[in-house]
Amino acid sequence: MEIKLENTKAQMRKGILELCVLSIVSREEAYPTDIIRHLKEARLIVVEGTLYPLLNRLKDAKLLSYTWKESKSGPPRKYYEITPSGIEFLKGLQETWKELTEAVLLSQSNINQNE
Amino acid sequence: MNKTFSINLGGTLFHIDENAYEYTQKYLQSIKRHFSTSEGCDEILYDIEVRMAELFTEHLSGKNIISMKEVEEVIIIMGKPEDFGAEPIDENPEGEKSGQERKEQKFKTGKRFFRDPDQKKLGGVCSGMAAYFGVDDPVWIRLLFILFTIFGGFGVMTYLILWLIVPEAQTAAEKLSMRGEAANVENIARVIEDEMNELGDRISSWGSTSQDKKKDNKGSGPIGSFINFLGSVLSSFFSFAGKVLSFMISIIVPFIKFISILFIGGLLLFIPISIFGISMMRPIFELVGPTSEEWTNFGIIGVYGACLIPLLAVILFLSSLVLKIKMYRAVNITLSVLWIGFIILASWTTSKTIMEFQSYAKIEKDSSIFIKDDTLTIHRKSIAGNGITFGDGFQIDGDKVTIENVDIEVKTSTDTMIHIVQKISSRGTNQAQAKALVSHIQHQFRVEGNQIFIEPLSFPSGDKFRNQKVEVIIYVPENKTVNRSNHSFHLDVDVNIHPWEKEHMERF
Repeated sequence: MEIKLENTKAQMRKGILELCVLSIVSREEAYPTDIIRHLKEARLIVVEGTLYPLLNRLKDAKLLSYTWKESKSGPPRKYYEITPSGIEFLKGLQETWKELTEAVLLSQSNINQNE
Repeated sequence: MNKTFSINLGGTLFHIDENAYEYTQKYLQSIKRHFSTSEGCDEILYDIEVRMAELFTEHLSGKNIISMKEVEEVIIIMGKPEDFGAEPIDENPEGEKSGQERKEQKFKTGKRFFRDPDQKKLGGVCSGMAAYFGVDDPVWIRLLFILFTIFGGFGVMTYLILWLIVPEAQTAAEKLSMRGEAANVENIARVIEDEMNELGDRISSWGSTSQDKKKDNKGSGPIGSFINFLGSVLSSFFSFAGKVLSFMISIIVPFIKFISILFIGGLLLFIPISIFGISMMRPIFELVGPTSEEWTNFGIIGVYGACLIPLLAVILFLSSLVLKIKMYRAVNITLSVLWIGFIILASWTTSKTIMEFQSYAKIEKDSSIFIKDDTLTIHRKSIAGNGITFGDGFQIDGDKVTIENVDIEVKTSTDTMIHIVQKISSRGTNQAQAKALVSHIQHQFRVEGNQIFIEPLSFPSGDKFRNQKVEVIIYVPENKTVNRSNHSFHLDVDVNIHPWEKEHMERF
């Protein structure tokens, strides 16, 4: 099967999306629009709809929890914060990420040496 | 001027144009369907609604009413469910690919027609169709295809075409939308339009891929461009047909429930009418049916059931569509078993009856008469009396069955006398029975002056109808002219006939 660049890119983004969401929420509690802003700045998501099922899954896995907070404008908002098990999970992901970046750097430097 | 609605979207009140409202609803439904297997479906939907409310507030910037423009902008930001891509069921490369491909398409609200790879027997067309129409068991659709193949043979063709143009449901999302929201009265117009567009797209893409293949081989030949051209023509045809159909249906839709109910009512009314009809036909069944009375009754029940069960099935199917009730599988199975049973009963009785037509017996009565006049007129008498009459000259009157249709043939006589030959015949289970039946047949003719009257034939109603027949051959001398009283019967003549009669006969 032919491998398309766009597909591979999307797969890679998808893989690190959980890591990024957990990182954002671990810094301070956030409501989805905040998270979306961060993700969009980092160009990690194309459409906003992606985030909601993901948050739902992380919440179901007890990595995130949320509380309702009143807002000045409009209905109450869901504020997400990371749970202790979420912090553990995030640590694991961050380690893997570190290993991966090192692996990528290493493989690229090998290529450079060959050239 | 536009109608507007007030909606509560994620806890915020909005005024929204009618078309924008419908579009939003379609969008939310498509999301709902997309996540219908996830546990947090409602929650996800609610979160998305809240975010959409926020986006609407931003995009309205002071305006009061949400129009189509805002909805489109917000949907672009939120994305289509196929593009969310973050749910676990879609995490395979296939799904990713089709998600990418579909980016350009409108999201679908209705159910879509896919071939079902999980339940397929051949290409999955029937099982996909069963899923599409919400039929419990694909066996029904298969049976229908087999029936269409037997009666007319186009079942196979239809199947092959569908196999070719209908995509197979590969990803979990596609399998969901294959079973998803059933086509119902409210969404049928939209579903059909979507479906036809889809079909058109598929055909045109099929045309272009076959052209691509051609290119790979030996450059774009005339065949390739012809297929491509055909593809685009068919594509626009289907998209146009879809629009026309959807327009027609959107006109009918407000009345469709009413029409369906009328239709169902009509069909229900048909049941007592057909019961009445069949009970009226009973004497015929008794007359024609097998000698054994039980088998005659079985045959009547068989014919009756074989006719009524499909009718009942149609009524049930329509009712389940209108009332949105799912048909129980047990009902389907019971009906089909009964139907097959009735058909077997009816065919068995028919074959038993045919067996009773095996043998043949005939007698001939020859009488000579003298008529002085040069012209003579032949009359064929109609049935007198007032029994139950069926069709063309067939009457059951108490203990007597009368048949008007006596064949009359006129031939040239070898002498100066007029000879009337009655050939009386019948069929029967065996030679003895056929002979007995022949001996029961009554047939008379009368001669008054130069008039010959041929009477109908009759036999006792205790006898079965086994093609009892009378042929009358009248031999007339060459110097006489034959006339027929009226044209209600055929006269096979090879002698001199009346000039007027001759002209008449030449014309036909």
